[in-house]
Amino acid sequence: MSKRVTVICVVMVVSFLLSSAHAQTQGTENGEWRYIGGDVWHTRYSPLDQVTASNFEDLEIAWVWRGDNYGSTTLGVSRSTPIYVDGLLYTVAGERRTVIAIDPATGETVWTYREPHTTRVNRGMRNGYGKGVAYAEVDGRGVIYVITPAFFLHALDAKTGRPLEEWGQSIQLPDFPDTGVVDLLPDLIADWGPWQSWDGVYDADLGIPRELGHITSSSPPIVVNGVVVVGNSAEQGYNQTRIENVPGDIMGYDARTGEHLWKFHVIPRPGEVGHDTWENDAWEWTGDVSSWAPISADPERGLVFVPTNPPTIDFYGGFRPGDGLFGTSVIALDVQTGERAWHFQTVHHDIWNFDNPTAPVVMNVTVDGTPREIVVQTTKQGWAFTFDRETGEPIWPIEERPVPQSEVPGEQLSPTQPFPTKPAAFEMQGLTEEDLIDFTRELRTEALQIVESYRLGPIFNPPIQRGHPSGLRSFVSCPSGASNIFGPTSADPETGILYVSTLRGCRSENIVPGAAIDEPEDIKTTGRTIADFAVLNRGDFRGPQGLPIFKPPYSRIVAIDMNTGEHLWETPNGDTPDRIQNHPALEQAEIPNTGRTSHPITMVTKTLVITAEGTGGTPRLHAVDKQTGERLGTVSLPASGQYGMMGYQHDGQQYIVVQVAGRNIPGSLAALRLPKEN
Amino acid sequence: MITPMYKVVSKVVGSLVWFGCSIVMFAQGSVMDGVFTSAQATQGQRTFEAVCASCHDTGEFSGARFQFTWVGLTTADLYETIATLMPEGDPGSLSPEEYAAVVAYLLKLNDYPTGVAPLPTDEMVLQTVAIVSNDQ
Repeated sequence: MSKRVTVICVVMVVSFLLSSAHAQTQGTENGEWRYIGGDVWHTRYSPLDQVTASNFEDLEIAWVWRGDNYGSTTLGVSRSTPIYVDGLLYTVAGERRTVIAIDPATGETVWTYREPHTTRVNRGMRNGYGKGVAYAEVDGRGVIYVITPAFFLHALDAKTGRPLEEWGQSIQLPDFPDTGVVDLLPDLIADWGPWQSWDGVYDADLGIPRELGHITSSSPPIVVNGVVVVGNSAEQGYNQTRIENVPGDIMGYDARTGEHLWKFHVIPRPGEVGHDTWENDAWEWTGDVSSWAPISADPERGLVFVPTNPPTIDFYGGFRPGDGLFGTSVIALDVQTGERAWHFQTVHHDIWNFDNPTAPVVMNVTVDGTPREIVVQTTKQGWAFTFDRETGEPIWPIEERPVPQSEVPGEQLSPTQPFPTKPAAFEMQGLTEEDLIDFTRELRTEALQIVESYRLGPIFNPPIQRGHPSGLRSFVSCPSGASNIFGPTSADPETGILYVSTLRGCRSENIVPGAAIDEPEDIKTTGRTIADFAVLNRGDFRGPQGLPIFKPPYSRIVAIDMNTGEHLWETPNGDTPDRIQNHPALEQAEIPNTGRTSHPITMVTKTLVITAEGTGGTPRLHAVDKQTGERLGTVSLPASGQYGMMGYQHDGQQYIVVQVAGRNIPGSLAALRLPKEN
Repeated sequence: MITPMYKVVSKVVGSLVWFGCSIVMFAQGSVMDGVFTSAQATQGQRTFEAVCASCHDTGEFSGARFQFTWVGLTTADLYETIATLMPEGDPGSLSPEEYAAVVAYLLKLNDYPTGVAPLPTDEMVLQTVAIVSNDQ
């Protein structure tokens, strides 16, 4: 064999191996959308191609499914992304998180399942936050799994909605089914010191005493290799004043039987990795570190990727010195054992509410000619942390850099924080005078006057308390939530391009003595000991004359080529709002397309990026060129798209379902399809 | 130089007018005076649930947090804050009456008494209504 032929053969073999590696679990299959993130990788990618740039504007509303009447109040929000499996759509609705099966062709409700009432659901703090359901096949039968606000796990027959037989445990509560349910609380607290020391008997109706803490859920579980992985949610840290809470440990259950298999301590116990990052013995009594955002997975490796929240509470952590693992981290767990494979803490000793807010996105790319199997966590800080998903090693260097330190009494911040060197940040990194609005000289002057009362600074600008010796009103920390659950990240597994939804924003919370705002009688107050400081409200940092204080664009879609780490393009989300376009102070000003002041939502198909403008945006759906960001078409929606969308093929037709809500329409689903003749 | 009498009269009258207006503008009525109606608060509750509740819990605007934040300011400050910043994504998109109704709902949440007339939308008038402690 000649040398040339040998080289060609080697190239062909390498190419085959590369293509094989990239063929794993890419996007959705068979026209289905089996996970709220589309596939188990959470790419929100569908390979369907009936809807193209040329026919996009022919899309018409096939049906609208309204979320009214699934609770005592009507939710004006649509958080749940449906899944589509074997001819049915599944979602949740209302503050009881009622499970709904929907006919994908007509929008007709096929079956519903509602958990019987318990006292503990009245204490729920995120009851209307349900993001959907999970699906798996058990012994050839489709099963829907849901975690409820009261923190029960239910397993339902996918075709009938009936509780699964011989599954879980009998719950000794009125009206609960004899099967198909697991009470998650006993498994969570069984080995937890504060519960073991509690002088009381477990009451399944009441849950755990609020003096100890509170736990619920918002995202569905994820089922991987026969294991139901259960995350959880705590009440938002910015609403809390007390330092104790229950840790949001991750748990695994047998998908076939409901048997509890394992638990991962998100606040490490003595002898466990990370325990030494907790000082003041705070590990014993503080909590949260919940995994409220969705979990993704690599089934071939048997790994799940868990994004986490900070520990209790936001904006003051003086009582819990140390980095506080595994707060604000990405954790890779072995799905069979719950053992930690690797972790990366994206914020040390997080007090900024920089929780990891979206599912880590799994991708296969080629970096510097080498195939890399990666997982990407986009963050509120405006970064895309990128790791080898086998080892957790950063694909590009992540540097520990010095950050400003706190002057709040008792607070000890980490001297450094991790800064990715690549991809570049997709959002502003702090606020300087250069960033201030400059449409007109008058507006800029007003903005400069406003910021005189605040401490500006770079990202990780530390809070200052009310009454600070400087006389300043508050601190300003930007961005506040660049990537966030309002606009989940999507990706094209065929090209390796990541599509990030980002919103420009700053926070300037008022930090006050915890005792001044503690509400002992509020049923949502958890813990016993009031923190020295707590956050009063989410800030009153306003721009001049009702305009944003910073320069636009206010929100964008940013495409990042994860093969190179380079930004490919960015485009404003929608068009300049009328209130800005027609603002009396801007009559003589040149205004670029500012984009909306909301997170866009996206999904990717074979042919397009499809995007809606987010809560408060105009009720439109846009088609965008995947390679350039150019807008290719627009159709109307019944209300603004928000939180997510999905797609499927049913009876030979491609559908796009957008989560919508608006002034005159509650949280609903709007399905679009091409006219039959297309 | 002797000041002409008409100028003196003019200044006196002007001062009296200014003083009178000041009394109107800065007379500190308060939220304890029944400055909103029950029906307006109910309407505000509907708006809150439809527009605000997806992000905000009423606990953020009641009890100690409300008292600590707003006592000492006026209903104009509360109105302006909400009307300028909310709803997120499309601030200013509610009608003035809807914003006033939301303010009325927040006042009712904090046990301030209802009255016979709705809270107005005129910020000059709202400035005359002080937010005072609800345990007075």
